[in-house]
Amino acid sequence: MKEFDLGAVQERFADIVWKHEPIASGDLAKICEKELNWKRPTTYTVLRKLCEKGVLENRNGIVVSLVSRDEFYSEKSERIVEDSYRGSLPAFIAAFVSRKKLSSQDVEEIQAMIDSFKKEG
Amino acid sequence: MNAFFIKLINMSITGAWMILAVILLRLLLKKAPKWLTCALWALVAVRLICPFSIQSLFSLIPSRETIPSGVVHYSVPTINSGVQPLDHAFDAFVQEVYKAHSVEWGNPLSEWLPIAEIIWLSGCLLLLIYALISWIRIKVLVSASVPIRDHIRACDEIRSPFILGLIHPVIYVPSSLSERDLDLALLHEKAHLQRRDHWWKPLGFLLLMIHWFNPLCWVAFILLCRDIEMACDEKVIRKMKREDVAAYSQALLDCSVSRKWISACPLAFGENGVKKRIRGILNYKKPTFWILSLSLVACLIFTGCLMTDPKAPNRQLSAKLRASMDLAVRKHNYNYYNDGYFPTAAYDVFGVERSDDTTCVYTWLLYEEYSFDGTDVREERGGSFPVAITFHTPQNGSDLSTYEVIDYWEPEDGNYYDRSIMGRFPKKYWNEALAFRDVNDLYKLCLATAREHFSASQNTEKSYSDLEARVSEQYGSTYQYFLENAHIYKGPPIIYVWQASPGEYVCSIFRQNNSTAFPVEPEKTNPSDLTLYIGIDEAKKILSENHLTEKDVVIYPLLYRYEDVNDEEYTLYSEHVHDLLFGQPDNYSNRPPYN
Repeated sequence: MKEFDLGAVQERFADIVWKHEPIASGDLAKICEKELNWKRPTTYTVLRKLCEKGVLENRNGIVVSLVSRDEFYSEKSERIVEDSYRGSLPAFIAAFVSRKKLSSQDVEEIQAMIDSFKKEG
Repeated sequence: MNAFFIKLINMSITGAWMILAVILLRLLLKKAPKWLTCALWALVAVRLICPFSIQSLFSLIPSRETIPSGVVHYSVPTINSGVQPLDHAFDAFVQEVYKAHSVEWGNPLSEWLPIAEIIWLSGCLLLLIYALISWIRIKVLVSASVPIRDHIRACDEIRSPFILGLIHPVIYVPSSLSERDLDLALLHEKAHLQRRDHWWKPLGFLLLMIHWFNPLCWVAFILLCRDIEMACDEKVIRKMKREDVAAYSQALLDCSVSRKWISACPLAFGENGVKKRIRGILNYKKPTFWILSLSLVACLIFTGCLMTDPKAPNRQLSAKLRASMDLAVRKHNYNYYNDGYFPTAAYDVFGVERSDDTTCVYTWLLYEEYSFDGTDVREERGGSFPVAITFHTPQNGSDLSTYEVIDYWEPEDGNYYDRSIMGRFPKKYWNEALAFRDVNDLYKLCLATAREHFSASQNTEKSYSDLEARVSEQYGSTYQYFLENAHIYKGPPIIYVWQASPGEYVCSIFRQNNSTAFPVEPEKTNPSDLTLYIGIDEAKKILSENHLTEKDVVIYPLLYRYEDVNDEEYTLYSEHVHDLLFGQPDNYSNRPPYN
């Protein structure tokens, strides 16, 4: 089953493949290094993920796409971003938001606060 | 290592007192800007890392050395927290533990402390490993990221924007963020960068790694993180219009939420951080001038009271107290040694406790007696141990030259040494009183005093040739007459004391040889019968070596102004010469000083 949920990064990678395919994985890594500053393992990890999703295929070191660019964009529906990052950020990182989960009750409460604030103004 | 570890624990305890104060102050400063609270945490951090501190009267810290640095050597472990109930509770607890052990138990801390140190090191290492692993994980995660703006990269796998990197920080944002949310989140991250939070947070965590055993430090770190976030929020929305504030809050909410993460169960501890933040943002009002000023004043007072240590006990001896100490020490010790040695004393004062009636000096005493062998001083007797001397506190208007001694305390010998000290000395001095002490500095002081004393007389002796010349000139024919004819005199040994000037004396001692006939040519007199041209001190030495007391000799004091001197003055001079030769060192007679 093909999954068309791609994050912006994965889309960018797919764009590179679509532009240069068919391309040896080694050359692909070189291009990614030049354009995105990626190290080899990073390129291969993303490649593996896209192969798992059925968008690309690595045939004996040559990378080709299984879905054409037009096909992909025509079928793209409202994306639900997949939160693959299960862990939480380390405590010593300066972030926008803390790592605590919100209950649905909390979400409603906070949304209500914001809405009433907007109304008052 | 022991000393370092104990110092660390003491610093942590001091930090804990400070953290408690900050927590209280935070409640008062709810309306103050959050960057002020962050500054307070910065002060706490300084306290936790800096081993030095200044002392002041205003310090609210109960004690700068809760665990005495020498506690391993105490017979029973004890603490000095500065809070009486805590100390008593600890001592009671120790009593219970000792009761449980039927055998006479020493101080187990010498074994337990190294174990505690190993546990502490392990804790530090574990936290360090955790930090390293988390950092590597994050780095790997965001390796698959694409640049979208200067120093900003987008990544598929993250949920919230954050900053990574100390020297060249990069902002990572989730690729799924909408353009609007992205701009607002970037405002927050840039505020972090401007405030250098990407340094403070890791630094705070580093301190936590060191002070991990202190639960208040964890509380402090959690509160610090919250305050940093809120300070950043305040920085962003300070100049924002109302609708932008709403949008900012919305962005915060959006970032905290993702459909897959909404859980049914409520959160573990109380109110959620995001909720509190958004509430804070929506209710934010710019602090008024008064609130700002009052808060600053509160923080300054806080700094004065909690960044300083309590004053160390008074170690200074006034001149009178010093003289009283010298006298008391000499009186107590010199009685035992009657050999005419020169006594000296040096002190390392622990503290002086004053009350209306009594003044008690707790000090280390080095007592040394010296003799002189012609070239250098020689150490004859001495002792080195702590003493407690109690004096009568002089009443106002009293003009006593020294204070009256009420009690002179020395430690007991042998096995009872430590216990007797702990029984007599206040707890705060135990550390110093029981510690191994290098008395080299004190010893040098005593040596210098002794050398000065003996060289003074020696110098006088060396210049005796011109002193003798002066005496000869002043006394003229009288001098010659006495010298030539002294051997005629039959009777006990006689000492002539010729005063060249007040304070300068030449002595001549004549031993009596009853076989000497009258008259005898001076050349035929046995030289060993005469001791000519010696100083007072050498005269004293000869007298004591020959066990001659006042009753055994005849003293013949001579004043060159004999004709001008009246009886009373001559009597005073005679008595003074007597004192010089036979007076005890502590003879504070009521006679007026001779001059």
